[in-house]
Amino acid sequence: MPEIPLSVTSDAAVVAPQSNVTALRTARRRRELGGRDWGELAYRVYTTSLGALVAVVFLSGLVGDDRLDPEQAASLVDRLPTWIAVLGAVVVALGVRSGRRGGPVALELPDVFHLLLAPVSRGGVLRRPVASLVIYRVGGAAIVGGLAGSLVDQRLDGPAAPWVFSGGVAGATLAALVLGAALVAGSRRIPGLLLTAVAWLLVAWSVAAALVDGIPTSPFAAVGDLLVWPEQSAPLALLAIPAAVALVVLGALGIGGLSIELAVRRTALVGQLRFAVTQQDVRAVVLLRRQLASEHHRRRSWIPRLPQGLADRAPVLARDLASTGRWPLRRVVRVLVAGLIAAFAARGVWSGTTPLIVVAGLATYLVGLDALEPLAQEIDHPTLPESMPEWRGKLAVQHLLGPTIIVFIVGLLAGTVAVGVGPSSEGWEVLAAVLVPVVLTAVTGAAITVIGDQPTAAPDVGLAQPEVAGPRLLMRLAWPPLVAVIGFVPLLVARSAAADQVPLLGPTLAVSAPVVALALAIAGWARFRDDIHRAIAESTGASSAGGAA
Amino acid sequence: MSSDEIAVSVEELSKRYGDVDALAPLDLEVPAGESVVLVGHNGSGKSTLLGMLAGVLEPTEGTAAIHGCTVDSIAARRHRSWLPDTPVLYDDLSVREHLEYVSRLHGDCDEAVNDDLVERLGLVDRYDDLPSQFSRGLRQKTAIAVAFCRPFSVLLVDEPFVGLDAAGRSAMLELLAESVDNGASVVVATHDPAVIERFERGVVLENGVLVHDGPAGSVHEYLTVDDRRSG
Repeated sequence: MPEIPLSVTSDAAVVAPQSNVTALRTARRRRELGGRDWGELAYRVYTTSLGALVAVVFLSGLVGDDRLDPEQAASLVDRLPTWIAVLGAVVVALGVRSGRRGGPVALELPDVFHLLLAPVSRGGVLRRPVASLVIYRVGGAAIVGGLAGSLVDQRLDGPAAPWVFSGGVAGATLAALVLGAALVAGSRRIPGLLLTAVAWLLVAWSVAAALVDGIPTSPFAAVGDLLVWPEQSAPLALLAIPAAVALVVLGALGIGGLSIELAVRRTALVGQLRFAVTQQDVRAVVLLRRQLASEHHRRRSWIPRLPQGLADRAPVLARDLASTGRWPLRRVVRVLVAGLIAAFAARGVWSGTTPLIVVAGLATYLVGLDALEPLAQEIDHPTLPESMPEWRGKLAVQHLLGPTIIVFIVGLLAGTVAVGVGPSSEGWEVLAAVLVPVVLTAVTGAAITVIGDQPTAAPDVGLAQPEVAGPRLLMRLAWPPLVAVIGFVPLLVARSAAADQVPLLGPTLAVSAPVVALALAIAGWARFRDDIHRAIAESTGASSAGGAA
Repeated sequence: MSSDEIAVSVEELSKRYGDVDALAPLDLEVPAGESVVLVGHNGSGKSTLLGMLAGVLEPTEGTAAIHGCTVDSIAARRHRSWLPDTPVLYDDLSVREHLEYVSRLHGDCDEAVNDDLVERLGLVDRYDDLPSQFSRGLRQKTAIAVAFCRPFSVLLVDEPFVGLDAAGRSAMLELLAESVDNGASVVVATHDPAVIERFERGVVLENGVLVHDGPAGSVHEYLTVDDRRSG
């Protein structure tokens, strides 16, 4: 009987030949190619291309093709690099964050356990996946950048080719900077906290340069300078290209130092996260993202317990505040930052940049999702609420109160900061008039997402028809954030009233009323959702069996 | 390898998750050729300790070494074999290909050793099948074969008997005994009282703290009544 192989010598630092790893990987790839469903792949290519085409046509229509006059063109070329610098700084900071969480490479779990724990050079085996990632991301960004360049060209005179080329170069450079930052952070050669601090300082610098005249542009403006090269060449911007390449090379050389613990966690979660995204499962995405960030509830609450008498009368509110009180600091900061983004985007809308209403709505929707965690917990653990004496619709509505208080506080704080930056009596009036509709639509918009994941007490016969399923899916994804965006419509009315130099409050409150009514109608839907589905099932003649009562 | 040599050494090793101490600062030495059973209730820190020795968890404080080498070094990876509590296997490789792959990563592939392991674990009929289509027990047997198919002098095992049938359990115990006979150090975490006597030394963890370190037979008093019944 052969003996179990034991390496009983102490001079054990023998490295398995790299060729073994390469040969085995090649064999696996051959097998994967042999087993691939080419029909499905072709279908995915077709649907992706179709989606990309629709997006390009949509964006092209949005940008329009009216030529800018020379003054407008000069202003665009002047301002674009500063705003691209903001975008660049933010995505690079996110890249650093990804690297500190074990990114950007997501390996297979067995590769982590068998390959990275084997006596082989980790840097050697990881460089190939890194190279694939660089080619994929930089190539993809070059295509997107080229499209962005062609969109800019729609509004400017001159041939398109230089704009497509400069856009491609700018996109590829930005992607390389992001990837390089993530790889350097992942390799742990430079302390993560230092990298994070530098990254967010650059974000602050870029934002300040974009908002305040006289502050020099941040280094990321070089990426924007590359984009506008056909109109205004800035030779120093070319330095961004070797800087990006150097960052990627530095990160790739140090990738062997990645944390195995983080790699295991990332590997386990990223696959689930991708699956949840393909299933349009917002709740699963939220939960997995929190796990990826190691976001755990605190043991001690930030908020004192409710007095016994009040807790007895309002147990759901007490439960919700207990949950919110255990938010980790990271979530508190995230919610406050999202609130500030919403408030400053609203300020931008007030100043005339109407599309920022989408940013404001999405930010409040995210605040609402975080605030509705207690309700989401009830839905994640259905056996608990269904064993309670209250009807679950009634429970759901009760669960909206606590989050409404939280979102109101966040909105008040953020709104006060945004108005306080350049205070005016009009600003305070607008804040007072729009805060309530914004808060209610943020909470109820998020509630649609959260409650929508809950199975109904009656079968969805009428709504499960194929011709209904597509629009229903679209509604499920787009309607909740749209509700949050609708919350800012009174702001547009206030702006219009200010432009007409008429008192703001009257018309703003008049429009706020139907917006608040919409939020109340959604709360009513949450309360009577089961009854609605039961009625639909009965009217279509379906059995009311299934689901919980 | 001399039995005086220290195979596993741990100094002030600790692990915290947020404000929870998964493992309080711990000192431990395991000489070459010794078999150690780690005992403790759920959450006592057994898997955390093994994970840090295996190099898949990073200590909050302290150090761990395998034959004097840091657990992350190539030398330590060559010495150490790690069998986690959940089998980690490729979806696209058969049992045979798993054994070939892993043994080649660790030097060379000895087909005779692989064939013998597969026979002892009762996987002969499934040698060319994909473990992704196996039951939990068969996946566990495959993971055991993968852990034993390559050279090692330190074996770390977390709950190896979960899901195994009687034959698999018996094969696993034989493989562990054989490894010790051949001079390897073996550290096994288990809840199974019936196997404790098979080891020389018993270490008990409670809420992340080492509360007992002595002959394996002496750890029975630390097991709960339920654990003893299940044995």
